[in-house]
Amino acid sequence: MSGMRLTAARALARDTVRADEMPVLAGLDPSLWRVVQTSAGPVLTLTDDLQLHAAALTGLPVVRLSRTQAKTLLAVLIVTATGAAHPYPGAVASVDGVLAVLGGPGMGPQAIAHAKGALNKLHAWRLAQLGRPGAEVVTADLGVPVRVGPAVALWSGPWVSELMTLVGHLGEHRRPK
Amino acid sequence: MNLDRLAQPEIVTVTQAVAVLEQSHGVVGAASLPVLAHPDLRPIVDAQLDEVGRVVIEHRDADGEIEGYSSGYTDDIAEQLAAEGLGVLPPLDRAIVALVLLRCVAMPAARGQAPRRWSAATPVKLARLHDNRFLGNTVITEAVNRLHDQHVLVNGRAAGIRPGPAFDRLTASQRRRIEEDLLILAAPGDPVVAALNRQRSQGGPS
Repeated sequence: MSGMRLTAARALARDTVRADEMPVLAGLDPSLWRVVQTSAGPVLTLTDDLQLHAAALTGLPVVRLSRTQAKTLLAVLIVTATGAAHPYPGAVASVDGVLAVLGGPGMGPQAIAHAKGALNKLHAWRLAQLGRPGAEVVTADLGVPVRVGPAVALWSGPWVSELMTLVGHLGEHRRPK
Repeated sequence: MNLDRLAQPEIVTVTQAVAVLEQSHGVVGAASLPVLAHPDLRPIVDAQLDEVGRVVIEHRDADGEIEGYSSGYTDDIAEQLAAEGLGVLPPLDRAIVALVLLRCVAMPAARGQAPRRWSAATPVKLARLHDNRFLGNTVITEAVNRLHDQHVLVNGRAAGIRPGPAFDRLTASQRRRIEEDLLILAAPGDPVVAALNRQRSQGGPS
């Protein structure tokens, strides 16, 4: 069993690359693989141009966010936006800020519960990060810090800046005149 | 096999195939990946995946024709990762997965109705899983939801629960190993199980 095969497989299975694995992974074909720095540590992933999005996903079996999860992720992007063309690493916000974007005082208890549930799922899928990096298991409660998760660091392609332009417009729209 | 030796369009075809296989959740239709039927390019896709311990998995229809593909860890790598505890489910979650596989795969198979693909098995209702007396209903329900989020199971709510797309990433040999485990679990006194246990204790093929 070659060292590179096993090292790469470990990095993929673990979702992070250890420091001692970096020199070995440098031997992978750069037209396919890259190591990206994220808040959860370095991650082995496909190169920028191979990250599937939009039309490339048509007809493929992929996981799609539910409407509530998508709205909640958009709210996370709005409250953590810094004006940069890429959402990662973004600013640190809080669960309160996400709920404020989603409806604030107008939200009923059930809607708040659904939004918190969606935040927990986004956290599990590493699209959002609840609590401070490396913190114990954290759930979406008021006052808990929120930022975009390490999976967002892997986003690439023109669609990302288009999305962030939309996020910028939405953030502008909800700012008090 | 180095990609540098290929023309640019071929590099794109090969790398796109790897990207689709690695990022899809479930079986990709054969028509979406014609490169995997190409006699010269298929070995290159195989080699690229093998560099990271992965392999193309072919899924066949009732007539034996390839209907789609997925990718997963090669048998030697999967065994090593499991030995190191990487990607191994905690005991409670494993128990729930075993219950679902017993209901969705093993029991239909015993009736001669084995699902062609585990992820397409007839779902089992949550209430049937709650029949288990050793685990509380809340514990079972929470584990099902957790495993759904990890794509190990699909919780179709009213439609029921079935194995998820993670099982499409198992090789035939890895699925056979689980089938044997289910047999050992369901019929520990069966002579076939005794033979299996003997074979395993001697380090033979499983």
